[in-house]
Amino acid sequence: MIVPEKFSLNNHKCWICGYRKLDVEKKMSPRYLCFWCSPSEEGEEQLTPELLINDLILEAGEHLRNGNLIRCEDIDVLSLIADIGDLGGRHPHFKQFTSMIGLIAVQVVLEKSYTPRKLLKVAEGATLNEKWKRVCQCIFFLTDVSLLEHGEGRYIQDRFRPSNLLLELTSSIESVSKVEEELPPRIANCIAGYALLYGIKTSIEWLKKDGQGEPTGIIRLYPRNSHGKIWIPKRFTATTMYLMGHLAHGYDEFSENELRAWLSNRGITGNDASWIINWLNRTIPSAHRLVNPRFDGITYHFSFNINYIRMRERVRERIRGRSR
Amino acid sequence: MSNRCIVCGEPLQQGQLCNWCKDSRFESILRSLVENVDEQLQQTTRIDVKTNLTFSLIADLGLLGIRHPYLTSFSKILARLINEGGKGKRVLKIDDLRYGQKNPFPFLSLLNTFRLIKYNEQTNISIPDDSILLKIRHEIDVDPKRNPAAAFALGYLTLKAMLQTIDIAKTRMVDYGEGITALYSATRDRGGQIKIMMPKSYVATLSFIFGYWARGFTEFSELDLHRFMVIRGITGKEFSEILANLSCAFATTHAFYERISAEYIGRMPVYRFKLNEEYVRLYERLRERARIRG
Repeated sequence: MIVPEKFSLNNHKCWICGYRKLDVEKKMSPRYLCFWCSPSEEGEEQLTPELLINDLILEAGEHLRNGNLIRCEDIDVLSLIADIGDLGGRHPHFKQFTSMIGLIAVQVVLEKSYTPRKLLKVAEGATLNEKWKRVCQCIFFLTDVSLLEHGEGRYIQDRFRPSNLLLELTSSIESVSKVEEELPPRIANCIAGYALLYGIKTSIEWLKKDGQGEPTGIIRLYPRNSHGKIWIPKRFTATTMYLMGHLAHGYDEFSENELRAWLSNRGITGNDASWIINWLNRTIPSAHRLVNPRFDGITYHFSFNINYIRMRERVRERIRGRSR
Repeated sequence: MSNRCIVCGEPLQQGQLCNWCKDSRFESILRSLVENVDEQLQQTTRIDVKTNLTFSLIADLGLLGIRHPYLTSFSKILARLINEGGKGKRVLKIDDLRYGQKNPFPFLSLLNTFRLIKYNEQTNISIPDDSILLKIRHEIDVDPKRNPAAAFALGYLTLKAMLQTIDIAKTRMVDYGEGITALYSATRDRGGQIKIMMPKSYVATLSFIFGYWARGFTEFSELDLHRFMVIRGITGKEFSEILANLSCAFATTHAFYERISAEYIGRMPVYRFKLNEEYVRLYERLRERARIRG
């Protein structure tokens, strides 16, 4: 992907959650990240959102790689990333990319390869050129997150073939479902969630290295105009980072008030904030198992799924063990 | 008293209790707790607030009100009764129990209703042998260092009064002096109108904490508390004091929360509170008790 000449990130905000920084914070927190997405003062043994995402990716990768069935209902890590995928699948901009990931998976299951041209039917854009740009964005993104790998053919300079991980995980999809009819939504969400979370991880690493060169990870998928201006699809990224951050900080519950206050600092208010609350309390039909919503008489109160809390404790213990 | 919830102070169009306080979970867990405390008080001679979980919870709730200026005279009355009772003086003159200009009679009636003292609207009151005030005194003698047993009396009274208020409000209007209103003081404003002063920062905090606990929530933040308090007209310095009280910034420390932390959710830190795990277990036990009773 060629970065436009005018492309430049400014340090006024976090490029993952969209937090607008104060002058003091610009000096204190990493240049393109905020104190939430990349806390700098915490000790090595402290669980941060970034560490939690890293461990989730590692653990999910192991489950996907071992060729067993993708049992999102039984394996807590896969269930959590499927929930994140569900959120991504409902975002107006990320929806097309999650569909593309699903389509690639189905093609790889059936043919052990994929045809990029087939992705055009789910890509959004007014012209074919725009649609093709989106497909390219998705392919480069999947290369960043290790679901595709870059190689050179004899006649084609850039060749993106399915990685071993994608081949292994699709072999287990083949055995559980009739993919020629439809990819089961929870499994599709799981693969998309894995890619998106991995994308966030890769982008955080890239931003920590001062964002030099081509953007990698989820930033590749951010919408941009011809002048190089980039928008952050905060309804997905900010919500994900809030949930990951809250879980990582050791809390089991949160309320609508807290979530709204947190989102409003990221410029998400009104209908967008209400949409997120509605998605969490499943007023909008969704299949996530992230939180248990309860109405306390004034606002909604959310408790994390007990399995995810246990998973968090497991990750925390692992990090503590590593620092010994 | 018709325009505010008589338990927590929320402005109301009609009725005497707000939705928060007349919630069935609130009532059932309050009833279970009070019954459990009463049973334990009959069985034991000690009010060991440091090891007994139920007594500890009641004492912690009482500690929230010990610093409230509207309740100072009542705290002094309780302290005096505990002290004099401990010295063996069982009969006291009512005139000796007057602190400031506040009318002590509704409070003495409340103590009489819950059998802490015997009072028949004469000039004297007496402390019966089975009064919990004597047990509290005994407990303080056993462990005199920073013992929150005295706060148990205020917490116990408030919860019993709260339950009584809810029971009365189901059938008829609650009059001044009945139930929790005995802790409120009546004054006249400049226009000669009678004004009821309720220690909102105590009762509303109690209602919030107890309500959250009764609903099974284990965590809340300053923002949740603020939203609850703003509706009841508690803002600014008064709210800061509640926050300081809950975050143990004052000398009277309680054990409600196992984790009190400041979370940077945006440009300013927000306090978050995580309920003591032992109180979560107590809640489960009481809920089971309420379920069996139901």
